[in-house]
Order: sequence, then structure tokens, then C-alpha cells
Amino acid sequence: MAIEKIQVNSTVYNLSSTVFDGQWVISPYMILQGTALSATTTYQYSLTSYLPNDGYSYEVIFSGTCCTTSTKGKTASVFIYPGQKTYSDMETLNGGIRIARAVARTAANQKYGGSAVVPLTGATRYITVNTMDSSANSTVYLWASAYRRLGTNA
Amino acid sequence: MVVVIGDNSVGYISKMNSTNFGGNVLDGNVVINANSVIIANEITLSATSATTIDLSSILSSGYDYEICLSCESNVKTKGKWGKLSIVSGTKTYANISDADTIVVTENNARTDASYYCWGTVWVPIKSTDRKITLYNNGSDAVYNITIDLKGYRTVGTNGKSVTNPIDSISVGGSAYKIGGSIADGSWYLSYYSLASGVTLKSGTEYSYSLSSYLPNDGYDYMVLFSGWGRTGTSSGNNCNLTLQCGSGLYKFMRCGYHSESSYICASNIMIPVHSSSKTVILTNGSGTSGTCGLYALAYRRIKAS
Repeated sequence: MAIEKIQVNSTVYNLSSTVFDGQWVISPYMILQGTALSATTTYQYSLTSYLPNDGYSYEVIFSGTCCTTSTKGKTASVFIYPGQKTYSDMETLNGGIRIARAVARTAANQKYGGSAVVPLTGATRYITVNTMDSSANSTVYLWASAYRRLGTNA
Repeated sequence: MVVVIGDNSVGYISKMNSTNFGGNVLDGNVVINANSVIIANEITLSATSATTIDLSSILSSGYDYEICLSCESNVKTKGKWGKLSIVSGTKTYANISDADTIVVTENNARTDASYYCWGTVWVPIKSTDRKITLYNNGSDAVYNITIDLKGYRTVGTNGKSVTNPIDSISVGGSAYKIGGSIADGSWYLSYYSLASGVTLKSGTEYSYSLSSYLPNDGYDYMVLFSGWGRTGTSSGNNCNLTLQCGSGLYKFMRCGYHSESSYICASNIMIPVHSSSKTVILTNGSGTSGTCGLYALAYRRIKAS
């Protein structure tokens, strides 16, 4: 059955996103565009200009690519986690959500890419991006391509 | 707040439709295909090009969807670089920007060998355009693109707000808690290490129980996993990791040894875990060796599948 409305004490409620999930909104938003990230460093980025400021949880689809420098043995990665985390936090989480990682085994750069659906719980509008590598990334791209408001059920 | 049906002094449900539950208003059940549904089979996508795949014969009309795609691609000539992404709906190459895309795989070949990549992604599909566009904005072709539609669910069409969250409803004297039996629950961020630095033997299955991680409440859960793989240090060593849960078998990540030392890869995957079988099986392909790590990072209760 599809339940569209509930009436409680003469008030009709649409069963919608406060209880249930909303629709996917396809909306591109670039966060990092060819940015060099230092080794073993966390970066925090705000999504306040991307997501509605309504206090709800959201699922966001992120994509990212990483690229090593052109030196044998150098690694590159892009890991992500909801909220504002420290490097120590990310170590405890084993890097968080791993989007991509690569290593150069010749004297030329190596690339890797991937994506993730990331839950941003509550009013969180920040993500932490981390490299977890002893080598610096030469270039990292990271963007959000869609989001979806989530219901508030426990 | 509890809504009771059948007692107007407390409240009632004003509209029910027995044929549309899980589609028009609420999300549907997560459906995982028992067999492969191949929507792209060993195709090649030229450099800086896009191609569209029509899913209207698979996905019923009138609903939005989330679809789960398990993908493979290959770049196989020294110096070549390919990047495979997916865009929801019908798009031309010129009308796609980086930020429109969901990246599936990316690799650049540094020797004359096959550099395979695997990835599993969820893609939202709108009812008005039940197609996906494959997009390669690398400088060279991507080969052997194979995409298996592993599963899907319909997405509810709600968009407006109400002022009070509803905890449960009562139907005919039975209480139904919203957040599992009827609708999905909230995401819980919870870290759980399943494997860290495990040595992978050729063609071996590694089973990991989630029974101490997920609530023992009879519900299915969507779980977000993250992991890494590293090949051995001999030529021909590969890291071909799949993750299996119930009938669902998903491509997790892949990289191969090509020169001097081990290669590495990392990825994440979001898959449904059934209440009756809270075990995931990590498998490395035959003829391979290496090490890997697997971690659960978050879970969310979902409707029964």
C-alpha cells in the first residue's frame, strides 16, 4: 500500500521527507579541482552552499580522482568521511571511506578514480578529506553530483 | 507520535493504494538480482566520448530508481589513460562536466599490460529518463567495459515537509514501527574492522560475520564498506576482490602487478545485508596473491527485501 497522508487530531500530514527519504536531486558541485594535497594531512570542506540548510540528514554522491607524482614508489589517495575529523580520527577509522588510491611503479604518474555514497547525518555540512599517504598527491579532483534528504526515523 | 488507524479521534490514514506500496510515496524494497543482468558487454568507449544505455526495458515506468551497477574496465597500452564515469539520464559528451559524473574506474597504463579496474556504484535514475550515459573524458579509449545491473530499488516521490516525525503507526491493533518495516531508518556511523592486512590466497573465500556489528532485530541493513588491496610482488599477481552477501556478488576493486613491486587499490561499496545471513564473503580471484583490508563504516536499517 502507498500511504500518502496521515490525519492526526484533524491535522493532515503529508508523509514526506521529515519521516521518509526525499528524492534524489542531481546537482553538480566541484570541491577540489586539480588540488595538490600534502602527505598525511586532513582537509575539511564545507557543503553549506551546496546542501539545504534545514537540519536534515542527507546522502551525497561524491566522486574523486587521485594522481601520484612521477616518482617511483610514490602513492596518492583520496579518502573521505562525514563531519570535521582530525588526522588521528581518520587513522582510527582506517582512512574512512576510500574513494581511490594509486602507486607509481614507473617514473610516471599513476591515476585512480572512484565514487561513494556518503551519509551526512544530522545538520553536518562538512566533510573531511584525507590522504593517509606518506607521499603528496600531485592532483586531486573531488566533487558531489547528487544529494538526497533522509528521513528522521530511528 | 503514534498514529492509530481506525480511530478517528486519534487519527487515520486518508489514502491507501494496495498496488503502489514502495514506489509512489515510499522507497521500495532493495532487489538484488540473483543472476547477472549485463547492460554493457565488453564494449569500448573511445577517448573523450559518451554513449547512452537505455534501461527502459528493465526499469518499469512511472518510478524513480536507485540502481546498483557492478563495473569493470581496462586500459592496456603503455602511456594510455582512460576514465569511465556514469551520468544519470541522456547526455551528450559536450553537455557533461566533471561534476555531473559518478566515477566508476580510472587507470593509466605504464607498461604494455592490462590495467583492469573494478567498481560498484549506486546511480539515481529519474522516471522521465530511464537511461544512463557512459562517459570517458580520458585522453585514450577504455576497453572491456562490462556493467552488471546487480540490483535496484524504487525511490519515493516525497518532497514536502511535515512538522512532526511519526514514530509508529497502528493498523488493526498491530503496531508498525516506521524506520524498518515500512520505511528506512537513519544512518549510523560506526566503525568495525573486519580484516586488516589479511594475506590473500589464490581463489580463497574469507567470511566475515556482521552479527556483532548490526542490531539483532530481524531487519535488513544497508552497510557501507571501505577497503584496500595490494598485489603480491611477483609478475602476474593480481588483486581481484569481490564482495558477496547472500545472492549478491559485487565487484569491489581490482589492480594488477605490472612492474618492480606491488600495486595498490582502494574503494568502497554499499550493499544490502539480509537479516538471515549477516555474513559477507571476500574473495580474491584465482591465480592471485596479495593483502587486503575490509572495514564497515556505517549502516542503515532498510525495508525487508
